[in-house]
Amino acid sequence: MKTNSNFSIPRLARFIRFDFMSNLRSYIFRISLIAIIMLLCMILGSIFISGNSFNSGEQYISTISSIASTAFVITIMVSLSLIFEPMKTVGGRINHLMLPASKAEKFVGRLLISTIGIAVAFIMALLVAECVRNVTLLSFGSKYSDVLGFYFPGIMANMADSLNPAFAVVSIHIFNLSAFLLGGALWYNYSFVKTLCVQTILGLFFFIVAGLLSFVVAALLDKLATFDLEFINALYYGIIWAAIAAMWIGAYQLYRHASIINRRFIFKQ
Amino acid sequence: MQCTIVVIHHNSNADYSETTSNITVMIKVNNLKFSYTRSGFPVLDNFSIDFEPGKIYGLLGKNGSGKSTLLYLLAGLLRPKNGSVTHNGEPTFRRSPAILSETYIVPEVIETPNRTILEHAKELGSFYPRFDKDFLDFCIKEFEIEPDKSMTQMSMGQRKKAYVSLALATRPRLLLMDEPSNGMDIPSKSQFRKVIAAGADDDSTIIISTHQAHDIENLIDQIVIIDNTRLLINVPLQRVTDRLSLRLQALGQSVEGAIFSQPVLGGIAAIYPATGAPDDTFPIDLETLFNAVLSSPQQFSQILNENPCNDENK
Repeated sequence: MKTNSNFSIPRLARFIRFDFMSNLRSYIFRISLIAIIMLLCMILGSIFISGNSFNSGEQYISTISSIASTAFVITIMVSLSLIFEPMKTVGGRINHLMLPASKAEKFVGRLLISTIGIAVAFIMALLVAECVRNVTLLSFGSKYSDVLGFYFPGIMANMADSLNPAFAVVSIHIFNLSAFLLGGALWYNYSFVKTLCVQTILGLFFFIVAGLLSFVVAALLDKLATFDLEFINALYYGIIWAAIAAMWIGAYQLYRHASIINRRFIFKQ
Repeated sequence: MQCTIVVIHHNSNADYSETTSNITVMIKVNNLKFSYTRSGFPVLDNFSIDFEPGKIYGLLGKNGSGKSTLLYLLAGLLRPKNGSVTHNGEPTFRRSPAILSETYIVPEVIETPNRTILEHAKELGSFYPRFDKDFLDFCIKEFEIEPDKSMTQMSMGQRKKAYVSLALATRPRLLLMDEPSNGMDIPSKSQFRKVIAAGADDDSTIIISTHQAHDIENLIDQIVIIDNTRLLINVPLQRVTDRLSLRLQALGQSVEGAIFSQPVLGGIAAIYPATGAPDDTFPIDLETLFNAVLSSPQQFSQILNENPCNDENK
């Protein structure tokens, strides 16, 4: 067993497996919660849509995929803010920090669990909920037959469309999620709430400053209007992605310097 | 009433230089300074110590003296403000996989996953090259741990025993234990000493921090006492035995010539320089030694240390 390298794929895989198995019951509980919430939405949606439209199936897909898309984004946001949940307690920090894997492996491992892992689990929860919905509706007899059917592929296709692969929308999504990643690395407790509060405060701050300095903003916009549209786009995306990179680097640096002491504010001990 | 009398002979011809020569130092702490806040009073200051392989160290100190802090620094869980803590030449705070795979810490407050000890060991063992499943089975048998019970459903003492078993099974070259016998019942403490003795080997270093001096008296090779940010003594127990004599005297009896005395039930316990009289030999009482060193650190440092500390403030 090689122990000296800074990043080893087999060790990363071992870490992901270890983390997953150590917290399996917690993950199952959370996904079950998501499945139950989606199931309730699906059943209620089926009941309200049934008999109200000539194409109930498509309306059901449209409604549920909108709800599922929103739920999916919120789930990823919450999951990223919980990226260092094992570090919530002193004992948890000791167990996590002392596990023989490199800091990079642990960071990437937790990131993969909090993004790809939770995304896969969400889709599985949606699938289970859709199957249970059909079984539940069947038990009601023929009353809701017009919304009966396995609409999971349609829901997934609609979700993919609504999450909009356009670069601008993807950039904003990733920017927002990166903020929760940084928050998760900064605060181990109530990270989602704290990150949301900071985002709100910063948003209000910039809104107020922009309002107070409206003449500066107007002059800047006039100046920008003289530039090439491509340059403005490049500038816009450059700033967004520079901020994303800064948040990711910041999150990793915070994690790299983590110790057994819980941060009181921002800086290390 | 139980009195513990320790009489240690002084052997003026003993040569202790051989205890530190030709031995590879594993953990080096060099001019360490640490405080928990930026402007706070340091917990450890100008602190230097070497830990050698093949020894079991007993780390004693008052509440707040920095015992747990020192263990966390050795494990790489804290970063020194000044100075260095290195493990085989590498700073511990880097927490490289190579060093982590040879280090295990049993903290005072433990957290266990919601799994059985065997399930957890199966995953944990893959990270430690020297993981010994047979030794884990031995510990489970000695500690009478239920292998099919989830660790979160165990009592505190049982969880502690499970945690210690996993720690020993990883066969670390550096094992750090902070109050390991807390929460253990009396039979468990005896089992604990047995498994630690079985788990120790020539290339491992075990450092046990505890207030329960009696729990480790017959286990440790070397005693380390810290107080007021500094290292007071770091000596083999044999040297204590050879240079000091402890006698139990009746109340009112003169303690002239004693280096230290304290009232105990039934009389006075007094420490003298050992005379070499054969009928003065008794088991070592770490508690009395601890109180004595704290009361006169400079004096005991000069008597016990090879290189006595020159701290004029003590």
